[in-house]
Amino acid sequence: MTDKAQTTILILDDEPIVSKRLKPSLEKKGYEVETFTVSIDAMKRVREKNFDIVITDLKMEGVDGMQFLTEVKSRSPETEVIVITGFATMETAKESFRKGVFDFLAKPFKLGEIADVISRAEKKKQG
Amino acid sequence: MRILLALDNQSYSAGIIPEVAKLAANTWADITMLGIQSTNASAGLDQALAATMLAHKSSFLAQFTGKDSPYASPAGKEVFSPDNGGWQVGAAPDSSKALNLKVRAGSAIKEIMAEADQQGCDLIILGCSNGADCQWHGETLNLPQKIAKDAGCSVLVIKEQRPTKKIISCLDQSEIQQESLELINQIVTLHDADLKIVGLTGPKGLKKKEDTEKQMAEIQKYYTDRQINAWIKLVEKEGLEAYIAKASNEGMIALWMGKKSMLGKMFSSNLIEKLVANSQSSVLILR
Repeated sequence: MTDKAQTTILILDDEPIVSKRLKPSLEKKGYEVETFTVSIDAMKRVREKNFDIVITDLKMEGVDGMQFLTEVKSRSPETEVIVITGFATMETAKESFRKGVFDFLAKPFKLGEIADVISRAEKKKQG
Repeated sequence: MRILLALDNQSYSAGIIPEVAKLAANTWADITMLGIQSTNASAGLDQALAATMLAHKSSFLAQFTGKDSPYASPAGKEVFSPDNGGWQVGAAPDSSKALNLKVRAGSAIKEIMAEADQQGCDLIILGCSNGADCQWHGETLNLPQKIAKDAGCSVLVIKEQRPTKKIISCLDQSEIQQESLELINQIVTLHDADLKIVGLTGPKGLKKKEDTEKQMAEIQKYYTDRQINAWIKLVEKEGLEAYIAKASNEGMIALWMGKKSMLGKMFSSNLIEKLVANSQSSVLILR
């Protein structure tokens, strides 16, 4: 039996329904998932632990998603960040990519769509 | 987000490309441009339609400037190849997001809805002739209305090229799905529009006015927290149809017609067709 480490995913979205939808579906696929609705709590967590993949919303109270992903990429450049946003603009997409995000998904999206993006991010990490 | 853009060879289809490109630039959506030929597939690809579809794609790509487009331009001349009974031109290999061209043969209404279902699209977008008729030239009568009424996903019928400054969102505040709210958010952001949220009150099947007001205030806070100008309008269930007819002159109507929607039960499907046909503005049917 192989002892393959689970891919770890952190999800940050201030709307609880997003994590509620994503978490069980991703856990079923074998990922280890932690979810946060408050950005400052997620920030504390990424300072304790490096995740393989981070999925973050952009527009949030307190620390916004752009600040959050900047912190993630600065602490752990190998972490792949996927931005999900309900208020997408060309500027936020461009800025996200300048900061090194793996992909940018506008809401709404189907579970299959984000699962495909996660799978591609995982493959990239595995080289 | 996955968007199906249904197009034909008329000016109203060409006219919606800039607005769709703007939405695509914001959302980095995967896009399929679909044309339908009425002639049987065995007769071969309609070359005039194929040329029109390639021109639509060029027009779409021309809306993007600089190196930041998620859609790569083709390296050379593009040619349709057979695909599952139809024809397609796939996205350029170095494209970050999909921009596919497809032509299917058969009944336009049936083929548009089948393609949207197969791809798991979140939104179908189409234009229509100006004025009160809102038709697709040479196609089944009331094609845009029928797509809006029967599609399994949300549908945006773009009826005008003038800027949308206000979106009037009629939703069933107790049942609306997250995906529908998210789509409204994207359209509001696209147009930098104000949002009027219409809540329903009434004696049958609806909550008390005080409860509705409370729910609507929560929705309004959600938007104002996100720097979107939003205000609430409460409308009696019995007066909703007349209100929507009047409001369609103010801005884009967004009507939530999901399976659990009270609006879906109140509005007969003919009323959706009537709204799409008669509205002065674009119409967004949310599902």
